[in-house]
Amino acid sequence: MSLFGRLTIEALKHDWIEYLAGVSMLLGAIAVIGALTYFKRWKWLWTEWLTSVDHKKIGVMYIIVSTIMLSKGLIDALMMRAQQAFAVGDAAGYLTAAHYQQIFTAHGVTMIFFVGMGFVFGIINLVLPLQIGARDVAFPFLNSLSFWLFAAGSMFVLVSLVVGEFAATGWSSYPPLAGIKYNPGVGVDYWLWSVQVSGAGTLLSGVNFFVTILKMRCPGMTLMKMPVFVWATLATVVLVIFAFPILTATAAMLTTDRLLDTRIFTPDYGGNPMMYINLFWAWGHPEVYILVLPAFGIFSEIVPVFSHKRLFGYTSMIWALVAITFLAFIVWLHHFFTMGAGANVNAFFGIMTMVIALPTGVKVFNWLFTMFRGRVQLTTPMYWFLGFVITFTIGGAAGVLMSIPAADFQVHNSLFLIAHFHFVILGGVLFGIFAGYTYWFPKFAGFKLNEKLGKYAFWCWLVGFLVAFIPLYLLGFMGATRRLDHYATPEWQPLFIVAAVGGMIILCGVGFQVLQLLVSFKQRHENRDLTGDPWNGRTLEWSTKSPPPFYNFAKTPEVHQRDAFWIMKHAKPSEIKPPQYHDLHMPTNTGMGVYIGALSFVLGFAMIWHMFWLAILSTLGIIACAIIRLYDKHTEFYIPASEVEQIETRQQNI
Amino acid sequence: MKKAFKIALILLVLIGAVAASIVFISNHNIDVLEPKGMIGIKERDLIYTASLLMLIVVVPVFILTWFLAWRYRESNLKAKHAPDWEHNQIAEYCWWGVPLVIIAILAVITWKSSHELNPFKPLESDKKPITIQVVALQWKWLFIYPEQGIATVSFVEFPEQTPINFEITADAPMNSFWIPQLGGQIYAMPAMRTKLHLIADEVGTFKGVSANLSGEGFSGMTFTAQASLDAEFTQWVQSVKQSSPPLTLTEYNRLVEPSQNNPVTTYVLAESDLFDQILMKYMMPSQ
Repeated sequence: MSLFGRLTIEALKHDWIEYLAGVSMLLGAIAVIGALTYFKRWKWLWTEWLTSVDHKKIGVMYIIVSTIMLSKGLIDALMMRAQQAFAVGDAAGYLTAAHYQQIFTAHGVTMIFFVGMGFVFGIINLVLPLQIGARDVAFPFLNSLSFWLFAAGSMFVLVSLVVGEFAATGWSSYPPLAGIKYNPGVGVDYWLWSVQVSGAGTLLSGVNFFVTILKMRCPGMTLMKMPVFVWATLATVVLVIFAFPILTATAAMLTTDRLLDTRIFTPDYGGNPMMYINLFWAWGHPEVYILVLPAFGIFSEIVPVFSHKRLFGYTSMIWALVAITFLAFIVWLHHFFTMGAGANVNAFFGIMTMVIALPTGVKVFNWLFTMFRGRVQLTTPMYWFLGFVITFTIGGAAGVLMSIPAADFQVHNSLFLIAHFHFVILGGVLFGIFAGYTYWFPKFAGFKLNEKLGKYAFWCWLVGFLVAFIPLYLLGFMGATRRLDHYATPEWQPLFIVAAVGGMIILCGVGFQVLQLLVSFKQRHENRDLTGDPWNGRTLEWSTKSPPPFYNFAKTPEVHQRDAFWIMKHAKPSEIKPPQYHDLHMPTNTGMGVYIGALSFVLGFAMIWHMFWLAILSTLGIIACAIIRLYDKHTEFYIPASEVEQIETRQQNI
Repeated sequence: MKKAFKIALILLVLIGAVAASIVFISNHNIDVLEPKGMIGIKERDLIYTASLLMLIVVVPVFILTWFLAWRYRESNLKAKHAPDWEHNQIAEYCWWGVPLVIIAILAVITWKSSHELNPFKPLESDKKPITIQVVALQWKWLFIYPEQGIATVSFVEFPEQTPINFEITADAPMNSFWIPQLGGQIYAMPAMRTKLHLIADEVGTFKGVSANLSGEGFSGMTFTAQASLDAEFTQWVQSVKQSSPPLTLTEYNRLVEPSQNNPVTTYVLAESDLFDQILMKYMMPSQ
């Protein structure tokens, strides 16, 4: 076996579209490296950002990686739309089947693992410690490590564009198709290591935030006084802790099937591919709620603030979250009613699935009645909320329809299904993320985003989304299945063209978002948030300056009621005492997260290409890093009270 | 004036979109909503019933969303403002309760329909059912008629108003067997035997597809399903028998090799237990 395993010069040969993608990626990387060198910012980047254990900076880095991945996922989506708009009858379209299948696989993996999860954990990182009045998360180094594992995972998707290929098996990679017999190439291995490495990061994040929420809340904040976003995060991380080990184990078993011929998921020699499908969705269904519960949390923060009114039905909101968390684990079979499990099994899972609609519906009604007798300020975040209610309700109704097994038989794996999950994931999760982005942006950037451009972006997204996905419901009823690189039925073409137009309108929305960011940055002096509380907020993050100092709170707040900051603002002013500052205990930055993340990427890359010597070396490197970190005594430091005072007074004087 | 113009424009666009959709739907064949077999009809009715039930919740949500956002907009100072109102027992009972009733009704429908439309359940009929064995290959469908002693690729014919017992497996990655106008699908998996019971109420030609990604040639893995009169079917079987080459094991192994966009081919069945042999291949692998 050669030094480079099965990596040869052949791995770099692609068609012109992939070259184009690879070259533009490389040019982007060169531009960034050039700029950093020219402005002499390498040291700054390393000490201030890459090695940071500050939850706010880690949150920003999550969001930057996810934004890069979102642009890749969007290009994938537009390429698919362009292919399907033309590839009818004798016209083959501009993509080969093999390339098209890689694109939809990469689109799914990118959007779920690196856009959805990245944005969700980015926002959780930014907001959650502030909302519970903490200075950082429970395990700041672990948090940095989680991020770097996530970033390493995303690199596999990008690198596969240049070196080798990505999986062409659909984002769920079912064996036997994903087995070594039908897919001997490196594509599935890229998928496996991408999922494996980022999944490990997610699991660590889950544990970290679980402990953070349970142990790091400020005095007085009992569970039932936590903001709903914190509750939603708690539910999310419980799902992560239970679900992600299943994914890790399943991916590991598929890896040994491919590497060591263990035949766990092959149809012969006693293996069972149906077991893989069960295990995959035993993770995959909770994963849907891992994405959407934080979005629910975000809306639960936004609606009361912009309605100038307390959240309606806090207690039932919490119980609804708890119910969804529990039910998320007993519905996985609805992803494959068509496997033929029998009427009793199908009916059970179908009914459990529709029961989830209950707590979800309750949440929607509670949000709506938060507006009742409020003073609703129709800002951009509220636009996203109102759009979300419409798309999520339609998508949810389609979901309940598909939870009836006998109805599902007629729409399973059709474009109806694709429309459904885009309505709930795009219209639910992504709209929630955009709402949260606009809402919390001034807290961390120090200035507000341009409202007008934000609303233009919203309208383009909403209209484009409806134009792109409503035709897919109809196409599903016309018998169009998912994942077609080509079709023979000319009647479908008009609808595919309409869907492609919808994709273009969404692209305009993205354009407005980019423009919004640029314009807002240019006008930042006019839109500066000097109060720290630009929206008249209700929760503790708004009690800090914008942006908050790296230690968040000079003095740990004390909470007596829900909407803690709202109560503080309306308390009698007589209690104000001159502030007394104390030494603050903070974690030190460390590069270990970067090293372990980079070594994990090398490990995965070596395993993909069968360079086993390198895999052993990088494993040893990871272990060495862990040991060095264990014996590192300088992981914390004190900021003297005088310095805290200096920072606090300087901020007041701006 | 400007606002009225905007609203009028939006309404016009909406009405235009709805009108265009109606014209499109009435001019095109919507397979799932225009089924030609008893199973497909029941499944379509189920889709309609469930959709109507859900409208009971969906429509109020839509109306409430727009009404509340409009009525309690910031500039409307006439509307009541109750900033601390956060709880109402009756209202909350309402939106736990009403959806609960709807879900309960849907649950009963789900339980009944799951049993009635279980794909493994044979259909009741005066006529003797016909058995057709289906094998998903890379990337084509092989249909075996054990009673008639013939086999076909990319084409399946059966008599109308006769229950069809499909027995399904794969000698390839997993596929899903679906004839939208006759009724719902089921997976075709290697080493497994799934069953699907369908019936065509009238003579007709329907398209059949694979609904599950199975590799490079997946998109072209379609077939034609033909429902014909009894006499025509018998005649077709005779003509196949007279004019087709035998499907021996050698020929089958050649067929297993990956190929795309396969034309219609017919065979005389040389191995009467071919379907079972394909299944057993995975039970006792030779190597």
